[in-house]
Amino acid sequence: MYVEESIMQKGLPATAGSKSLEGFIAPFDATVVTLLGDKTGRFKLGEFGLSKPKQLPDGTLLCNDVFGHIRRMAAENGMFYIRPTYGTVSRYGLIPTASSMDQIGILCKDPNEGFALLEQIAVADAKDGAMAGNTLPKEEPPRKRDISEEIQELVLTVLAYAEISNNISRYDGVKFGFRAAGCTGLESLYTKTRTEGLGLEAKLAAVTGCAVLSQEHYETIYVKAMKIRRLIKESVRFDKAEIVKVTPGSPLAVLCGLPSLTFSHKGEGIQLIANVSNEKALLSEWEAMQ
Amino acid sequence: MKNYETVMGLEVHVELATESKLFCACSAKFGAEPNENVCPACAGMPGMPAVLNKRAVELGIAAGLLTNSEIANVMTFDKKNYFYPDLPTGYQITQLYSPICRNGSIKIPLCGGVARSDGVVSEKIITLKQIHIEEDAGKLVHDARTETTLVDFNRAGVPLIEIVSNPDFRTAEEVVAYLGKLRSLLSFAGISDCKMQEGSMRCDVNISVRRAAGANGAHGAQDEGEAPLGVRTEIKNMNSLKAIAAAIRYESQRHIDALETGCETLIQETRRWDDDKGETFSMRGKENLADYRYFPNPEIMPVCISQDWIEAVRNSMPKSSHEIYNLLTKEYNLPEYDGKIISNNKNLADIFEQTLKQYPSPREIAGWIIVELLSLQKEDNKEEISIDCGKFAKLIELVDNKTINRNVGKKLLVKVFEEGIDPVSYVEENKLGLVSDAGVIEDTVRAVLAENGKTVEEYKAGSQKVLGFLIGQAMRKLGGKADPAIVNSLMTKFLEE
Repeated sequence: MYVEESIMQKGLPATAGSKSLEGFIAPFDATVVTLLGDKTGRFKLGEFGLSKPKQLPDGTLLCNDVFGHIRRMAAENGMFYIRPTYGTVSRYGLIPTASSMDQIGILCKDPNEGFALLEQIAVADAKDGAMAGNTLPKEEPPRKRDISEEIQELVLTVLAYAEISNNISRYDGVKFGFRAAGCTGLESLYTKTRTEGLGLEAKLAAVTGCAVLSQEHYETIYVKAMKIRRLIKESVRFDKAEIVKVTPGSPLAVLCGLPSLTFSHKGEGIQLIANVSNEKALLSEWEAMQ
Repeated sequence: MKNYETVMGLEVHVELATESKLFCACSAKFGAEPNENVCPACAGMPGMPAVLNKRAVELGIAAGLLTNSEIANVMTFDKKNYFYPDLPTGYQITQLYSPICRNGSIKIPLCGGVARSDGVVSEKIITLKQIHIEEDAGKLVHDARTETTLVDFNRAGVPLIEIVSNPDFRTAEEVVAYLGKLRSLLSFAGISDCKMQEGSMRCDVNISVRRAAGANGAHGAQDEGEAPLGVRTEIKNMNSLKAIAAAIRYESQRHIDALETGCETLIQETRRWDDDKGETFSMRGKENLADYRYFPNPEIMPVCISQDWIEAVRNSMPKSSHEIYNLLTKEYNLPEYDGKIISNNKNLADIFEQTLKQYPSPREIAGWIIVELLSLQKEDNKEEISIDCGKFAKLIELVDNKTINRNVGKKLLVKVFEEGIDPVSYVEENKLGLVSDAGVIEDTVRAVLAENGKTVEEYKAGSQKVLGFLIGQAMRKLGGKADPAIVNSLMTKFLEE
């Protein structure tokens, strides 16, 4: 079994695939690592999950997949990717990408084994303040509206890039990880370290994220994207069927915090989405399809 | 310059008196070794989801109750982005969109709370825009020897509330009165210790000037509310009430001068107060152009504040300054003046309460606190008195039961205060107890009279004032350890013989 490098394992490098975390050694175990106990291998994916990795491991992999690269590759390679309901697996020790969408999932060869593993790691953890089970008032009954996958992609990009721009601000060369050589002052420390430490995709996310959060664009882009995200959440209905079928790359489950199972069926990639905490429906549906 | 009116709004930051930090379990106490109270979370390492400190929310609710604020049913946290080495994550977690409290108010006494001739203390109501919870940043330490800058993250993540007022202030005196009231309210409720020197209470002032009502301008007389506000500047970095008052006077004069003479064009900016030079200066550069890119924090779930929770906080709040005043003046029959001084200062009220538990003599204790402890504090130049109340109680008791006289008591208090001596054993070891053997005192008095025959004659010739000299001589012979009243009566008695 493998664990992505964005998940902390005490004493081992935790880089999230980024040069900006070069030399950073995890000071503690992520909750999932503590729960699994066993010796696990490390596997490096694209920087903060932004870019498509070159390859997938030949075994089970715990990893976060916001942008759909892993789901698409799983379907292409005859593997399965289980994304649990947002907040069911502790993110203590997961280097954040987009906090409102980050969720440790399971890439595996056998969904039965995958779901068994999920049971082991889906444990309430007081160290993750945003786990499921918060005490929010009930939301109003949803209204049905169709929002195209293209718009969903756009909303995901706006919101995820904004969150990434914020989450990677800490890689500034002051405290840990990579620090550029030859800095002449604070300004130069920040600029050189971030120029050299962040890859192209991360820079693109940082710049775009800062732009959509700026005073100029916050209301017109960011707030609008948040509103559309809510409309997307309200548009997903499970009253007729327990399952919604979309493409492996669809951001629907990520945006809505819903559990999904991605695989290929008769040569076609499929992502099954179930209602909140209804992971078992995903497995039943897959079994029914066989 | 009576033609101008100064208009000010305040942003007061107060560190909450929680044990641990706002989003991690590190100690929030002041005064630790650099970077002693730091964990991966408050050092800004990734992978540490924020877990909200419930106690901080309760102290925020308490602040809302004390200021008659509307407390939010649901509050949320936001992220404020900027780069600075003392900010480990590159963002500060704060509340912009749904703060814990809105629309509060605080009544402040004017003219130092002195009553007018009709017996009414004049008051003013300062309205509050909001109170929000946020995390503090670390501290930069400049090391002159190595010419480097070091970061101490002990303070990073310590919970704060920021109390934002509306622009209701017109004078420096009002600002000082408001801060005094705020300190009293918050410290008595255990929300914060409000020490400006340690930075647990910090105040930024937003200030502008405008033509006062009735000033002869082009538009003639105008109502106060109608005159448009002038250009606003924000002044920072004042760490005492004195500095705040001085900074306000300096800055409002600078604005007036700029308007009057045109020698300077006012711009909206942030300025730092230099206490040594006694002036404000512009914090040129990015500080004034910052776009903080606020956005809702996705890591912290919205927090519901139920009516039940608010009531539980209300019921567990300690006595207010006002309640303590009533207790002191009605229950313990202290004079109003004593009651006011002690109930206005959480530190004194605590000392009073603790000492009273050891030695139930409220009037004596109040007297010692107000006369002796306060003068010791003045010499010490500290914001807070710290003394062992058990030893303080014993000392007062030693004077009351005439084991020592008051003068010896005062000297001992300095030793209790500075060295923490135990007064009972100190008095025994140094034989400071009063001479209570009437025979010894009589012998001493007679000896003094015998040695000062000339003075005795002066007395008998009608010079009353030499009595003091004779008593002084006797007290000196007794090592200051006799009850002066007994010496006095014996001296008078023998002189009359």
